[in-house]
Amino acid sequence: MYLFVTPSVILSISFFVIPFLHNLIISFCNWNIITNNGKFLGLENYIRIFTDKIFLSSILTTTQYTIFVVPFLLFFGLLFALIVNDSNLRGNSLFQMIYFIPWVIPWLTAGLIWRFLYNDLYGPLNYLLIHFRFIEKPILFLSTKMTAMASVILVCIWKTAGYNMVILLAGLKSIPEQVYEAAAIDGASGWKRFISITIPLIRSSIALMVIMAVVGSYLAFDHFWIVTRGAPSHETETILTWLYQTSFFRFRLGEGAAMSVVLLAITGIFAVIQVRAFNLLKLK
Amino acid sequence: MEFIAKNRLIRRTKRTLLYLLNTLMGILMLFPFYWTIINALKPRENIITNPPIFYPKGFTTEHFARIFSIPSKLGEIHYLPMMKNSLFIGTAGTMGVCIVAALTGYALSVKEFPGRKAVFYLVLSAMLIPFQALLVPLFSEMNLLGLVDNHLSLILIYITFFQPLGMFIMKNSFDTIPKAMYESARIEGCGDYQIFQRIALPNVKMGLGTVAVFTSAAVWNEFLMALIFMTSQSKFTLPVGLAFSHQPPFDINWGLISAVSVLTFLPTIMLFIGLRKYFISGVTAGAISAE
Amino acid sequence: MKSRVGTLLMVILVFISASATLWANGNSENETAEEPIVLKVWNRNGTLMGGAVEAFNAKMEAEGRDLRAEFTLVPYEEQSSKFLSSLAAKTAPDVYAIDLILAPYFSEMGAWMDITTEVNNLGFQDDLNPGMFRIGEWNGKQYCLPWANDNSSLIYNKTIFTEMGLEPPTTWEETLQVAKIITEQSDKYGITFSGANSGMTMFTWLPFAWMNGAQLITDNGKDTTIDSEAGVGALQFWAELAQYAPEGAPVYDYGDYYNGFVTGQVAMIFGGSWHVMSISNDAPELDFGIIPFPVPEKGNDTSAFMGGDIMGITAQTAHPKEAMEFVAFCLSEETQIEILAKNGSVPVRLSVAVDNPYFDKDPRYKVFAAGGQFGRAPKALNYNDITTVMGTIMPKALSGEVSPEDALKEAAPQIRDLLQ
Repeated sequence: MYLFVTPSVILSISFFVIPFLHNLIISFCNWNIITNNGKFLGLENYIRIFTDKIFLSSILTTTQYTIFVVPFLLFFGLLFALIVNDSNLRGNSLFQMIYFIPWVIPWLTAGLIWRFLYNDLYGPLNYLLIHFRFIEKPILFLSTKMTAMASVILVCIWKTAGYNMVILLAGLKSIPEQVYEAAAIDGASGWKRFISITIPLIRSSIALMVIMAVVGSYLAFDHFWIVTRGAPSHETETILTWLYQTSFFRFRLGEGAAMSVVLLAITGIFAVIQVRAFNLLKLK
Repeated sequence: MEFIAKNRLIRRTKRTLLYLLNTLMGILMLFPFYWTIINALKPRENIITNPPIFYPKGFTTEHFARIFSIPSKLGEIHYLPMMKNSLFIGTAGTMGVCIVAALTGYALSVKEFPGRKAVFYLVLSAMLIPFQALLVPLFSEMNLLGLVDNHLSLILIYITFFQPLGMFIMKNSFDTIPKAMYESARIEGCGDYQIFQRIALPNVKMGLGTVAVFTSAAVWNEFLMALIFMTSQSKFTLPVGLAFSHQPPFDINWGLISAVSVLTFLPTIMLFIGLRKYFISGVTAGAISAE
Repeated sequence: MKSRVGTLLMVILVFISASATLWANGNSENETAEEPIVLKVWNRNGTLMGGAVEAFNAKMEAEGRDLRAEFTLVPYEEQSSKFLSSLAAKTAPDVYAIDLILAPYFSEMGAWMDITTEVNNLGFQDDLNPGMFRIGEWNGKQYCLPWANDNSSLIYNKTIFTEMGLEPPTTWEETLQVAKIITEQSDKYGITFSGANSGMTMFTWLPFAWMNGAQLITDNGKDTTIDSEAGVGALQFWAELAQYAPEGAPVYDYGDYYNGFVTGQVAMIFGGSWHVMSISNDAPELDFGIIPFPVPEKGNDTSAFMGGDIMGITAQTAHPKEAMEFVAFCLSEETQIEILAKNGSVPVRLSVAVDNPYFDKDPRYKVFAAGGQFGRAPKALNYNDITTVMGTIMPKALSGEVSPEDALKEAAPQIRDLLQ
């Protein structure tokens, strides 16, 4: 039986654990990539990153982003799942596909498309909004931290709502019809049914979706990299975009490695907390 | 009588509203695709205009022709080999994840062996850190293994980092198989692997379908690793080609970018539509339910 | 039984595909005894370096020699990450032509081969663009040589100017007036920026600081005078100019800024030599002209940012002599004219930089080429860090959120720290 899990374990150790340990070592050194060694610096890299204003603000930005985006993802995922689950609705499998499709394209493509759409001079979005008299002047979607974050959140919702819908849908499908029928007989209204029956029965799907969304948001890279590139003034840097720039544009590999250790610590703690919290809410 | 009629009216109104809502959201979801496709079919001058042109005015297939043509000059991007590479890596990576995830998911679902939790969390933890952060160590390691500029390096990394979700889904799929089925097979004298192959696998087709679609999209779309790890142009994949076509300060040809973008999402969408039987409505009852 | 066979087949299949992959991939690396020497050359521009490689191979073929070059395209933004990774894995190319601002870091790291003696033997050292040549030098040794030159200058839409009855500006005051008139009296904008792209911003703004007397990095490389009155004045000019730019300009990326001009909605941009070709391709009907950057006051000297690529031979190379031969070929007058000038890039050989048949045909290039004579290129180990600092304060200054003086006063100490 061990043989079954051997491939997974070998892969995980070789390509995840070992490189991470390597990174850990680098984070304590002043690493020269050519000679492949470096001076031991102790905690200096860590001190440097924690006094780096942009790194600290990236942690804040990433946290804010996660806090904002996850509820929206849950809301839309649930909304789509509920709509699509209604088998009386004609074409619901078609809609299921339509909602999911944005997830399928590369982030690079999505980012480029949306960047184009958001432009104030020649972007279709502003053009349509003005044309239909919703607004008078073009909206600068990307000019301040708040609007830029909102814009990225919109792209994220567009892209991943379908994916979350699929996860929640699986949970919905596992509720037998009889449960609803019994509730209907008991006289429960639609809304009440939803709150007391549906939600508790799919809480494990919700849990999975939320955990993945939180971790995924914390690791946000492509969304921000393509759509805002950290603008304005590095205010929309996420931990990972700043990490990438620190390692490869500012050539500070030691600091980049230290950031990756901090990042893993954060996501690890979050994951553990979330799993514990959701375990508490379950009976199993 | 009146009451029933009113009820029906309410229901019909609700239904209509729902259709409207669905249609509206559907349009919003699809608009960016539509926009890219028409841009891929417009000549350059009609793409960046004010006001924007919402239909493929001046219909041309020159951008697609460019992609499928063989470049005359050295150094120009040749897209066809990139597509081949993407296809190859996508298939291999997806198959790899499916196999590994099924094996591991099954083991974790069925057997209570020491270290079970450890394995579970070990594999799962690869989801917690993105491989961009491990770029340099991974690259050195691949070099040690002699795999630089070799597609195998990408495939191995993709499997490692995409298997956690796959394993999770597969484990939950296997969890829904009643233990009784295993019991009866065991009584008949089947070995572990036979049970896996004959009893467990056929029942988790939906789970596998899900894993296949999720993984193939992720692998097909991955760009950074493919760029860094492949050093010769002949090994580049399609997203890498896309990256080239949009970076300053050179010729930003939106028509070409749009056309390449279409190529990046068309195959996955087709795969998705092809596999939808395994995927839509009934992403199995137990495919996703936590432990 | 059936299942056993099935399993066996699967295992064999996996094994075969893995080995096939290895074999297919590895095959290109295998060398038989009599294979030619192949130089690996990387660059971000396929037309230019790819063209040079092609020409080189043709020449080698004609001479019956067993030496070839192989070109790999590197995306602009991944120039350093790809190079760094390859250095770590000892799979670096033989020759790498990199954006010049990135070179000093690699010099300091020991990535390049010391070619001081070889350069002396070239014989045309004095004919090479001195500003770029300087960047390739580190700690007294020469590591990189210039390859292709890109300078910054002012590009303007002739049609808009004629319609509004305006003359292209020559001083800062004139620029402000022209921009004001265009923005306020028509539906077009006078100017636009790419505030989010700090590289472009530096490329286009620094010359204004230079011509006013300020320096981002002083000649000794240890200090900055960017927060002096001259520097503040230059930023003040841009902040005032920004009033006439689209509101989103401080956060525009390269695409937004470029597209604004190419769609004919913006009358002027501060651009680079590569724009001539890309604008001609994207908007063939757009009639545009090139003029040097306007000066603070009549009679002052103008300036330009001298950018482009410089090429070095990596220390890891197994073929130093052949690599040097390739480099020399790239720097020959013929290559510089037929590959660079023909494709709209400014040659680094001063003798042909301005006067060559292609630039004679389209004199707009000459303005850019002239920048190679009086332009400057900043040289610093931490250039990207410095750009990050400037990239943080400049959008704020352009949007009016912070005064130019405060912005530079905030940036200067950080820059000084970085230069120590």
